[in-house]
Amino acid sequence: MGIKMQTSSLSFYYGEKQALANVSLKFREQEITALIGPSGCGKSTFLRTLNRMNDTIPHTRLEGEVLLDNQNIYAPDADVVAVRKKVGMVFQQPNPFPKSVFNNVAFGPRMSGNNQGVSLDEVVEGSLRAAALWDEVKDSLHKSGLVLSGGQQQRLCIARVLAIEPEVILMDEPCSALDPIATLKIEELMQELKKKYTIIIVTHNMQQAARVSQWTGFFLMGELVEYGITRDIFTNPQNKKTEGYITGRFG
Amino acid sequence: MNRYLTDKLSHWVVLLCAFVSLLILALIAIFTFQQGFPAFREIGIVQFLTGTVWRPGQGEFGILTMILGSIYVTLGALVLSTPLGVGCAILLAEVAPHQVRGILRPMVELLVGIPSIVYGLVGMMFIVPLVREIGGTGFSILAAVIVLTAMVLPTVITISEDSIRSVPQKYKDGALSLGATRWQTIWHVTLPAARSGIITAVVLGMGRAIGETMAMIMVIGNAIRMPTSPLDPARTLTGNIAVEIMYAAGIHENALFATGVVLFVLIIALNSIAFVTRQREQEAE
Amino acid sequence: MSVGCGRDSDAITIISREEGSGTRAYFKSTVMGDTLTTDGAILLPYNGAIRNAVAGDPNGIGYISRGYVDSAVIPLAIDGVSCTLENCQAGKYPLSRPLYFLTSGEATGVTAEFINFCLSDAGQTIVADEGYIRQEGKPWDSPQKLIGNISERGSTTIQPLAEKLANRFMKLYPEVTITISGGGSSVGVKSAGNGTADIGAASRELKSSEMEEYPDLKTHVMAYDAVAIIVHPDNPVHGLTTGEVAQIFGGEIADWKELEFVEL
Ligand SMILES: Nc1ncnc2c1ncn2[C@@H]1O[C@H](COP(=O)(O)OP(=O)(O)O)[C@@H](O)[C@H]1O
Ligand SMILES: [Mg+2]
Repeated sequence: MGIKMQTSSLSFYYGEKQALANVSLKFREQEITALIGPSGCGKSTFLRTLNRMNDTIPHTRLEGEVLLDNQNIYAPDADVVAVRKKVGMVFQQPNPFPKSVFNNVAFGPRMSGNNQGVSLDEVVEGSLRAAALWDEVKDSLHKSGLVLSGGQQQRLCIARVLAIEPEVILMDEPCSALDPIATLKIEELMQELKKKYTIIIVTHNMQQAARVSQWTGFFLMGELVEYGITRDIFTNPQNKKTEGYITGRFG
Repeated sequence: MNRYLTDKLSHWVVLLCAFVSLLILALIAIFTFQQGFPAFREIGIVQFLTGTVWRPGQGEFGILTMILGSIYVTLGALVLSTPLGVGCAILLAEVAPHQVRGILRPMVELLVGIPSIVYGLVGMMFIVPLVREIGGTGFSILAAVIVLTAMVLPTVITISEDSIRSVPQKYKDGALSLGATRWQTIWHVTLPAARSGIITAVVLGMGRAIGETMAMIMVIGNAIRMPTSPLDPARTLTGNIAVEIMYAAGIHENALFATGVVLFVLIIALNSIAFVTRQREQEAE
Repeated sequence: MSVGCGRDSDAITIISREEGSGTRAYFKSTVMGDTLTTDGAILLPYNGAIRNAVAGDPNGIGYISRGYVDSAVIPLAIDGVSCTLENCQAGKYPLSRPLYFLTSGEATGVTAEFINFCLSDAGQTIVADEGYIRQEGKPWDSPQKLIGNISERGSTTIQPLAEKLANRFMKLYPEVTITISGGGSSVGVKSAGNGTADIGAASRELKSSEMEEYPDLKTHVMAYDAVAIIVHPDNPVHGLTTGEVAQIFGGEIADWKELEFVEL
């Protein structure tokens, strides 16, 4: 599979504090890459550099490059809004807008204003179907998205991302606030989605990483310690620290 | 046992406080109605409400011009202060750098504490002559609306800003991550999420506007004539009471209390409209 | 003649006191007679507010107590008599009136001493200094020492003068406290009548209804005041007849141009 996205020598600073050091990583098309590591090691920070969400935090600085289809998304002439439309994001806490289910999903297309010929109704239905939520909400499209269960809310957020037709989907611990059944649903959904999208998931849960991903990167204190095929990382880690983490000796 | 007692006690104390406040309000309302009632009986409600002549000396009491005066200035201030206030609130909450906000916000809050007579004097010295340049004597509904807008703005700004600021970051992140621009996020996510607080801000502003007295007296001209243009002078219900209550006796005094009753009803009506609007807004989504 | 700053019309801005004010009552009885003040008149409830309004409006006309006149406005000559202190004291200026202190029954104790002080030469000197019209000072044997409180309430025309008199009196007798408040002449009558104030202040005569209600009220003329008809300093009109003033406030003369013939 081709390389969809990659970072080279990426470093990131919150003020004086360095949160990422020299991270170089490749993400392959139509595959799922899992990022694991102990809390505070910089996984979320790294993920947010991939769709420039860190831009919204004041006093931050970035070095290195992030390439999307070989274009540096931090190039001076790069368009942040266009980047974010191509690289969708699902957050740790489900965060549907306090709007109806329909308006949540329609939000992205409305903002970009280019629903080429396809009606908004179709986009919404298609996205909800793709997020495996349609059957559950088709009769309550105009009820608030906030009345759904946590798992449904998270799938609504996924549907909302799908509606903007991204190429890459970033997921930051998307199941950490969900119960096991809802988690399972999302994991199944990811397997569906990977046929079409490049998916990068941050997870705290090593079983989840092992179950869903083809590739795994292990972060420690802002550095990428090890990267490889998921099975290899979990069965035969090259680095002592990786081994220590996945066998549960720290983290 | 002890904790149970304190619990019970707090319950009763709170209840007592609520009761006393309500009692005071009720007594004021009852007194106003009781004092105003003879005027309704002697002048006739219809005559009182629809009459356009107010000459206490001649025993003529009609307050239609003042009802309109109050409504015009209040609506005018509402129409001006809402966009201005919400705009400033957006600026403070979402746009201005931290340090700028640190200076602006306390300044805005300071404006709330300025006594209304000061607004009135400033209005008379600066706004009235300015309006005179457009036409008329300058003592006018327009001047009153401008002064009132300035008085109401701090309330609208601070409460709107608080509610905009309290919109969770996760909503804004969600919008930005979906490719919304900063202003799209403000318009389509932040403001709607803050809507209920903004409506509260506007309602409070309106309450202050319709009740405002001293500043209005200084700039609106207090003339008792049907206003036909924003450049005309007018009299507000509050102004009518404040200007004349000192001298009033007998039916004149009753008529002033009756003016208070009308003001009371008007405020309840405006608040109900606002309440229903807010209710509907909340149900809409 | 063009009075306005760059405006086509010289429409007169009439600024009057509110109904019930002592100044308005006096103005009505001496100038307006049966003519009603026009509906279009701007009404402001303070002497100072009217002065400021006229000072800011080249086409304005208003009436205020002479004590409030300053260089920001021009007091008009009325019936050919200018509103100077001499003319007022000589009784030539047509719009001058007595100002009253009212007490319920004969004043006693500190209150009586304060009133006597106001009527003495020292008190009347303050009256003149403040721009009001003084009377011949009455002899007053100032006591060595006085203790007590006095409250005075009523006419806003008298208020600033009363404050000055009270301040001087309190300097002379540090153990006396005098509180001065406004409210208008009617309030002054009521307060003195029902005893809520030791001294009531009124800038008009008692109405018959008031005399019936409070038969014990005793009046003391504490000064004379003139009502000045004021205009903007840029206004070329410097004098009017009483009749013209009535016509203006009645709405009959609505434009300064109609008065061209009076120009001095
Ligand atoms: N907005 C921020 N401002 C300053 N420091 C931050 C911010 N967000 C995260 N950090 C710091 O950066 C480091 C990495 O955080 P994060 O990327 O959230 O880690 P993870 O997602 O792996 O738990 C932590 O030390 C954290 O305290
Ligand atoms: Mg994280």
